[in-house]
Parts: sequence; C-alpha cells; structure tokens
Amino acid sequence: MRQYHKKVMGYCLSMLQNHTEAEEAAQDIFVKAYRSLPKFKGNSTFSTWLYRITTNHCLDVLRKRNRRKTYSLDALVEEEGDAIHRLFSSNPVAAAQMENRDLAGKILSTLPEDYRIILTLREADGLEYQEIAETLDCSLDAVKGRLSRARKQLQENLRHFLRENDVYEEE
Amino acid sequence: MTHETIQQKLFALYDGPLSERERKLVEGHLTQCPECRKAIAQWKSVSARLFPSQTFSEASEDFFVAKVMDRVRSSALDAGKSAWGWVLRWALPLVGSAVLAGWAFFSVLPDTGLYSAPSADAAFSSYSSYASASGNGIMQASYSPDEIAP
Ligand SMILES: [Zn+2]
Repeated sequence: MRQYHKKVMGYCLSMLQNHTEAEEAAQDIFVKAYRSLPKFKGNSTFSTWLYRITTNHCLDVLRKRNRRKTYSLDALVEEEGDAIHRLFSSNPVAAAQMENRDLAGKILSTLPEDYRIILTLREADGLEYQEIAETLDCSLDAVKGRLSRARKQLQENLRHFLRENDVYEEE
Repeated sequence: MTHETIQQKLFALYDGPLSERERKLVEGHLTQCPECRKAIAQWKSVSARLFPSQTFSEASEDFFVAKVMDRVRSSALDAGKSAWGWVLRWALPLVGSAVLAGWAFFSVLPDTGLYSAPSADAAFSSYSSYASASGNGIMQASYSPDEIAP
C-alpha cells in the first residue's frame, strides 16, 4: 500500500488542492479499492485500475463540492492577480506551501475537467502516455492531443503572468 | 527538421518517450533555437508551481496505512451491524404497525355493519403472518453479519 500511497495522495492533492480533503479522499479510495479487490480482473495493471478509481473518486468529490467556486479566468485574475504574480515570481519550492496549493487549485479550476485530469496524471504523477491512455481509456494519439491542448490553454490562461516572468525562467 | 516539426516533438522529449534518433534531433535543435528553449522553460516554470512535488514522511505513511486498515476492518464489522440495525430500525416497527393497523381496521369495520369481516382474531393472525413474512423477506435481502465479518 505504501508504494501507492504517494501516488494516490499526490494525485488527490493536485486534483483537490486541499490537504485534509486529499487525505480523506485517499483513505476512501484505498478502502474502496480494498473492497473491490476481488473485482480486479488483471486485464489492466493494478496501478491503472487504482488510478481509475482515484480519478472517479476525485471527480465525485469535486462535483459534490458545490461551495467550491470554479473560477472564470477574469474573476480569478481580478481577485488573485497579485497572488498569482507572486507565485510565479517566487522560487518554485514555495509552491508546495498550503496557501499556494490553494491558489494553484483555483488556477487549475479555470480549465475544463478533462484538461485538469490529464495534466495532473502527467505532471503531478509522472504517468507515461501509455499509462494515461489506459487510465482514461483512450488512444495514445488522444492523450498526446489532449495533453498538448491542455498545456496550451493553461499557458494561455496564465499569459499575463508568464510574460512578466520571462526574466526568471531558468532556475 | 524545421522549427515547426520540432515543436510537435518538443513536449514528447519533455515527457520522455522519444526514440534515440528523435531525441538527438530535438536536443540539437534546442541548442540553436531560443524560441523552443523558452517554450520548454516556460512550461517547466508553470508545472513546478502548479504541480509541486510532494514528500510524505514515513510517519505519515504509517499513520495512513493504519487508518485505512482500521477502516477496512471496522467497515466489515459495520456492514454486519447495519444489517441488524436496519432490521431493528425498520422491519420491527413495520411489522408492529401492520399488526396495529390490521387490528384497528378489522375491529372498527364490523361495527359499521357494512362489511362482514372475519373476527379480529383471525385478522390479527393473518396480518401478523403477512407482516412476519415480509419481515423475513427483508432479512433475507440484507446481509447476514456472518457473511460479511472476516
Ligand atoms: Zn525551435
């Protein structure tokens, strides 16, 4: 279980951007997985199967979280522009701090759900294209296409902050 | 290879899976093209901030594993308990109210003279046998605790 704890927890954190909720979700996911272990047929790898449960569970949590605002880009820039600017001009290590996780969550919520999922699988969990394809049940080409569109849109959403940040670039 | 074709391979290199030949081509291009270097650097900067890597202490993992196992065990117990809890909470009151309703119904009707009912006693026994039959149905539909408990 330990081997998967980090992956599931990392995924939940990136999707939910809240430590308490992520921890709770990760527990729920392992309990769920444990119970449905007899249903695991072995026609996908165990980790793919677990990622599917995790994806569905996180989506459920996000959908149930009605109080959670999905930010429109304009509203976010207006409300949090200064904070986003600080996030992008500070050392990346600071991004792991809780207030920045929260901000990252808001930024990611400006993306469509499937973009957010694929970026999280790739960037936070480091899944390879093939693993993502199995998890999301789609083709390799679909993975590449969606990933590229998701990156493009995220950068487009952040364009004001990234341009100013050009100087900082290489760490 | 042109700048345009390289751009499509750029993120493939960043993500990992490229053939040796393609990797060399893209890397070669990157050394000469500031625009492509900038594109990758910019994405790295975004990714580092929105998807920071997480570290978890061994203690927090131990705690997590203990907590999950605890829940797996107690949920197995709960499933057993809740089957009985359900019977106590719903099935018994249902049987009880069916018996009462039956008794009230048949003890009032004969007085009106509109309906020649069987005696209240017979009604009681027929209702209680109906109710207990439905009660059994409920119990069969729910899990017995022995099946669930490990
Ligand atoms: Zn180039």
